Amino acid sequence: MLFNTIDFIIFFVFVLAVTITIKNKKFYILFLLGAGYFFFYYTSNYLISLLIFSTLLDYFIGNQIWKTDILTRKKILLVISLAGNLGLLGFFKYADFAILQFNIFGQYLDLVEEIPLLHLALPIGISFYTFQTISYTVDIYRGKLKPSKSFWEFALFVSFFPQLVAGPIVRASEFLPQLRAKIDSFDAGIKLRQITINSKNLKLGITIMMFGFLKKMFFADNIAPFVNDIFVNPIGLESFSIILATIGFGIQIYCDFSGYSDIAIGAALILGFKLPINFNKPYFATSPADFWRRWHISLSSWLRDYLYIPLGGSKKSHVRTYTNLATVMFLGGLWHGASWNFVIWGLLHGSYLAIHRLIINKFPILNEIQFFKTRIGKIISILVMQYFVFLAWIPFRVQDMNSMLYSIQKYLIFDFQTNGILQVLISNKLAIALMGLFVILHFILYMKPNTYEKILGLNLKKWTIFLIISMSAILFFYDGNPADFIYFKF
Amino acid sequence: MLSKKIVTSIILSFVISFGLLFGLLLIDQNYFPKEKIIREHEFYTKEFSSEDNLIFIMGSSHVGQLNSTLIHETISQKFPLYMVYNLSYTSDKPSERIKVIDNAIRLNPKIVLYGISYRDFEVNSIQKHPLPDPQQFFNDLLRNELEVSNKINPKVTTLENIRKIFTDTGLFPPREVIKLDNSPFYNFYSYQIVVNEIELKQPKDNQQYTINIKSSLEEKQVRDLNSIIEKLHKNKIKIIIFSTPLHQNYLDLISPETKSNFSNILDRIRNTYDIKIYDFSDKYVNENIWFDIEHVAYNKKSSIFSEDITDIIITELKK
Repeated sequence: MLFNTIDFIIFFVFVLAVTITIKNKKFYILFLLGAGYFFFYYTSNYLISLLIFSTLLDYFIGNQIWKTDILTRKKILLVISLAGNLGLLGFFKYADFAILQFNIFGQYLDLVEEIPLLHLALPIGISFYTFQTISYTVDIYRGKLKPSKSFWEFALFVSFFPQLVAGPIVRASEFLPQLRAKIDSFDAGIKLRQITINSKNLKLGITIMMFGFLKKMFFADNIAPFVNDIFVNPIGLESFSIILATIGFGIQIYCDFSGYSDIAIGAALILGFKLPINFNKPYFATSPADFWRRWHISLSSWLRDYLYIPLGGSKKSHVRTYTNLATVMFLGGLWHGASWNFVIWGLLHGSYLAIHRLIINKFPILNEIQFFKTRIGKIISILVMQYFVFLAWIPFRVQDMNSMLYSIQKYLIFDFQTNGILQVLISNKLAIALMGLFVILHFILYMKPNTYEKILGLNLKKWTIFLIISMSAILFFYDGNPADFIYFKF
Repeated sequence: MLSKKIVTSIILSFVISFGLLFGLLLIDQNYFPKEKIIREHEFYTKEFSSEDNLIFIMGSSHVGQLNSTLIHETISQKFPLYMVYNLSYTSDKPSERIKVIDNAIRLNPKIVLYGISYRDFEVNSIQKHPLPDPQQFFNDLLRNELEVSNKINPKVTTLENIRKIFTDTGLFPPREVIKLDNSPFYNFYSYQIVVNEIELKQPKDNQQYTINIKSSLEEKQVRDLNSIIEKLHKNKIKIIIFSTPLHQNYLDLISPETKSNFSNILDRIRNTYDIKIYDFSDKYVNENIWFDIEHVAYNKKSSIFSEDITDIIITELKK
């Protein structure tokens, strides 16, 4: 179910209405679980079986790992869990990609027969919920987490609808204690309605959701046509068009994905659950490592904790550290989709991280230079970093190899032509105006990080005006065709 | 506890912002398709000379993409008394076409070429998944029972109003619209580029291409197409049907069952009415002529489709 549809609004209002009337804790959990399953089933139909399989597998294995003291048995159980989850992910997401590569390789070996593609439907959200269930089992294996007290609580953690299909990737250690605290409060005699939805959460949740809708429906969806127009066939265009479309795509994907995260976080908050933030002004990052502390935080921290550190992190040799960074980002790129362009994107970011680390290791004095701590130094760091971040968006967006290489060439080697510049400016005024507006708002939010608190502190009249302006901006620029969130594909 | 004031604020915001939206849509004349009605009236009340022999091409945007200028000029060079008009509309279906077919018949065309495709016989309520589909149920409820149109596009109205407000500044000149003299009901908002193969493979809108059709002749669209054919026959107007060209990626998304049903419908029409039917559906799958996976681009490089339609007309006129 898309957040930006009337279907979701009706569904969410119904869930809220029932939640505030529930008086029984078991029914409360079962209702939220049922809502999650319905939310998933609504668009994924029979593919819900994979979600249920993943839930059953990890609940059972998590308990078994906790119960046993034998290390070998723990390891075997962990391997089964990993094989089950990654097997599911690999089969549904990468089978056709692997077959295609095999067939291409086979052509070089003059193999006569080609393996037919499976044309499997990609289960929505599979990359997200499998990572959640893996983290649950691994944390129990590491002794960092106790298994969930009940199957229903664990199932709700996996299928909690706000973050089910596109994150943030929530850890069991973040979610289950919140659920348990509600249950314990209920057992202590506090009325359930007092521990679920309250006014403060409602106001903050609606505010965050409204920001999410604005980002997605006002900015991302209205910038997207310009970006598509340029990248649908970029060959022949001059540098300005390519650079502007690249910036447009950077803004589009940020607004699209962080907008989804905001709606998820806001919806969860209204229901009384705090989800981790997923974005923290990534376009103000000053280094590659800083960027990944700000962009898709739940994924980058997952990759750090469950891939980078087990590979040795930065504790081994320098060369091993660089290799680990490149490997993690290569897999991170592949996580986004079974396509070479995502691999290139991941490898580019891997190389940024490795080269940055190499420079810091070779010239530790750079950390001490005062200039980089001044305002102008910071601005230069941000601009340089973002130049490379936006460069990496080109392979992320443009799948055709010739178009991708052409766009990269025009991005790196400037070739401005007045006619082309005027043409692109005249033809895309709305998108360019929105990009400008986004940059201004993004800058204001960066300079004044407590914007949410300020909006929350508004009196009801002013807050209502904020809602009306935001909703009107969305409605008046809505083109009648709710567009998918980009990250639904991943 | 929930504050009633906060809930009231939220509801009030919804009511006011939706009220503003619908207020603008109701006040703004552009929202209603008056322009289309006026243009229809202009064309259908036009006085053609009794010596003019008219040829009409009809269909949806698939057919609208034809270069009617090219077709008309080629035909009129060889047959000076003939005039070709492409009367296609965006989103046309037999159930829409039948409402205006009498207007076209009154102009007494010699030949009507009707382009159809899978989408013309689309049935929305066919089960796409093995288990019950609540999304389909909800969509059908909105569209069929509550008649909520999914064609509302406030953005167009908003942008038109912005244009109006800034007309004098020259900041927003009128949109460049390409209108062909021989396609009175169809516009191109720009000269279209031919999209590369990789972009055509993007699965962004796959869902809308998951088309299902039934084989039954009792389906509304099939019945309406039959009625159109009967009316044309009754008025001694020759009708030729052609299935519109589609990209291989589009065809790949259509189930064998739907392909078979489509083929059966055309066979039955051919046999019942003794009509010539040309199949273009997979004719250009390997050509680099596409605007998207169901539309041939309006572009010099894509004239093959228009040329083939011209050849059909010439063949008929030579008979």
